Amino acid sequence: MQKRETFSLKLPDSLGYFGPYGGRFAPESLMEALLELEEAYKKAQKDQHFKEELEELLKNYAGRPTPLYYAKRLSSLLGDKKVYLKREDLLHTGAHKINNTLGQVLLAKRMGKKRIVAETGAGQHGVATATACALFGMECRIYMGELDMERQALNVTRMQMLGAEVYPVRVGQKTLKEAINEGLRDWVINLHTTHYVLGSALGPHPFPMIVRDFQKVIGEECREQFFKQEGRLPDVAIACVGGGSNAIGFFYGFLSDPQVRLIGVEAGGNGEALGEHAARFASGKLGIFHGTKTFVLQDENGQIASTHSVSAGLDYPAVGPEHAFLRDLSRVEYSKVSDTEALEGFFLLSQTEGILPALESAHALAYCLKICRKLPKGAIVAVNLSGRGDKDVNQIAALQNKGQRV
Amino acid sequence: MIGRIEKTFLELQKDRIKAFIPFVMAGDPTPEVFLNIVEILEEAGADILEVGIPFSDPLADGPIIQQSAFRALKGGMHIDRVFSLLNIIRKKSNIPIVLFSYLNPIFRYGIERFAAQAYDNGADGVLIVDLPPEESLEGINFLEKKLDRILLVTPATSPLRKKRIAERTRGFLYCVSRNGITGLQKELSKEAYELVKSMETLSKVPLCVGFGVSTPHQAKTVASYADGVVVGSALVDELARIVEGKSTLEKFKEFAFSLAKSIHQEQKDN
Ligand SMILES: Cc1ncc(COP(=O)(O)O)c(C=O)c1O
Repeated sequence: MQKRETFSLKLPDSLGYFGPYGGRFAPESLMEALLELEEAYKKAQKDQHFKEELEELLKNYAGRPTPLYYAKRLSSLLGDKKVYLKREDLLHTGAHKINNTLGQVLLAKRMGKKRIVAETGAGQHGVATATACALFGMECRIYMGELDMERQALNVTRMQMLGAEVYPVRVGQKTLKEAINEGLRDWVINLHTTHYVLGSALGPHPFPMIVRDFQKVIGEECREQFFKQEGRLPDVAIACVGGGSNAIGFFYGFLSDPQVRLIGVEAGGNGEALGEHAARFASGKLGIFHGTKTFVLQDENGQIASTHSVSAGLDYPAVGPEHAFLRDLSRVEYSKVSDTEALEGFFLLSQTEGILPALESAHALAYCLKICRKLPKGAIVAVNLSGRGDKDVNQIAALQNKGQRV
Repeated sequence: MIGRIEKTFLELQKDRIKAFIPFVMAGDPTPEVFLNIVEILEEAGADILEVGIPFSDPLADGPIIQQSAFRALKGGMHIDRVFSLLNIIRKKSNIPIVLFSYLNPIFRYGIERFAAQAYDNGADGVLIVDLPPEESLEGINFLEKKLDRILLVTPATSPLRKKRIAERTRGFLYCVSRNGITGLQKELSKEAYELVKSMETLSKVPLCVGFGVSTPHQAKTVASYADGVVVGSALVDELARIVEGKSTLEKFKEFAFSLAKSIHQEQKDN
């Protein structure tokens, strides 16, 4: 048992594989850029100065460490259970995404790049990228699906005010997947000047590794906080899984602690039919998409399926490859909650604790509510509150006006 | 036994003629019109045919070929139907056919099954855009036995990888004219010329240039230094204009003829 888990900590292998998942399935036009990035990242990792600069930024600019908060009132509703929230929502810009963008933009600067492009779904990664670009004086363009621009309008304005150009993507279902396509196309065209800041633990090697490494601070911090605050580790740790960056960063700190049950929560959307959800592990098939081999929602002809989730950040047809491997190892369990359940979670946390969670994070919360019923008395549950819900208030208000039961 | 692609180049090279390689998406705008277009292209003098298998997320393609894929998908195109179309083409024609695809549809179909069926239905080569030579997948060795697997180099490809790719590619080497995606361009970059020159000593197979060759004039320029010229977006754009009612098959035919002529006559003019 122990051996297996320590083993997974050393991944990916030199070709970017997590067991059978991952790899670098990129068009030739991107191969050299990916190799250059991998090389630069390896060098940066060994550079004490890079490490210190990033740590300093995370601490004094982004606001790390984030608190581990015991949600007493919420817990009291759940019987004799203790729910802790890892407060990534309190970070500068309002989500865990800034951990990764500060790291990657710093790296891009070392590589001599002048321009940054990124995709965004919920807008949090876009805002975090635009922020890092403002901080480092880099030109910034964010690709965003038109549907997402509507439902996350506040974040569009934020990005623009930060000096970034938000480029609407009007192809296909006009969400995250198309935004990534467009971002990658831009990168291909502008290889020499530009770095592509991928926002989740996805895509071709080395992205899943780099993003995880920049996010693993969440779990490492949280583990220490548990020892300090509770004298022990949680029994269960839960995170939502879009591409999988907040979840992998959170879980990573606990991988070698077999007593901590790890649960990733996908978007169950409106139902089981293809196109109604983004639960890749529930009905996705092994495939290769956006440069990585993993579980992908697709039709029987290998065409990538459309997805649905009330939360833009989870609305994506592929899951990060390391998650697929952790699932094979039975180290992490994956489940899903529906749009409605997520909205219930959103309101419950807002009204019992005075914390508006991001709709993405509300999925993790909703699952926490479900599982707490089944856990023994005294159980401790940690939920990664990956972001705050300010960006979602207009969308939720609109849903309420449409008479959705929320 | 030598394959159709190799044979075609040997014959062309005897007469010092360069290859005209049009790209069209299978089933765009409909299977019937697609077959019609293939006939026109052959009549115009196409030497090798590149046939796209449509994919929902063609990230190496610009808007013109993206829309072409979406039209084909909307019409219900998928791999088995592409094979049926090849079969129909093969009944009348011996033109070498290269399939151009993204990996996931082939992966889902089964790589070995794909290779066997493609071969049986008359395909000669395959170009899988997002499968770099470094990646190995079950079934790829079998595929490489059945079909010429064509690889790409771009102006960004490093000397080390250029060498490896040149050793591995079969049929021909696809030299991407610029760092970028497919689509039209006003002017050809010098990069394309430099790329071809840099590959000449490395490659044992013909060097063909594609991505963005937009006009007969550009095609002629490319034909002056490469063994073949791939024209995709420009033809597909003309097709899109037919779909929109802004052009006709007659005009498409004229355009195909002028491309073929400028490529084939290049040597004579020199
Ligand atoms: C607050 C928040 N949580 C979670 C996600 C999902 O992404 P990931 O799975 O990479 O953490 C997003 C993505 O936009 C987000 O904004």
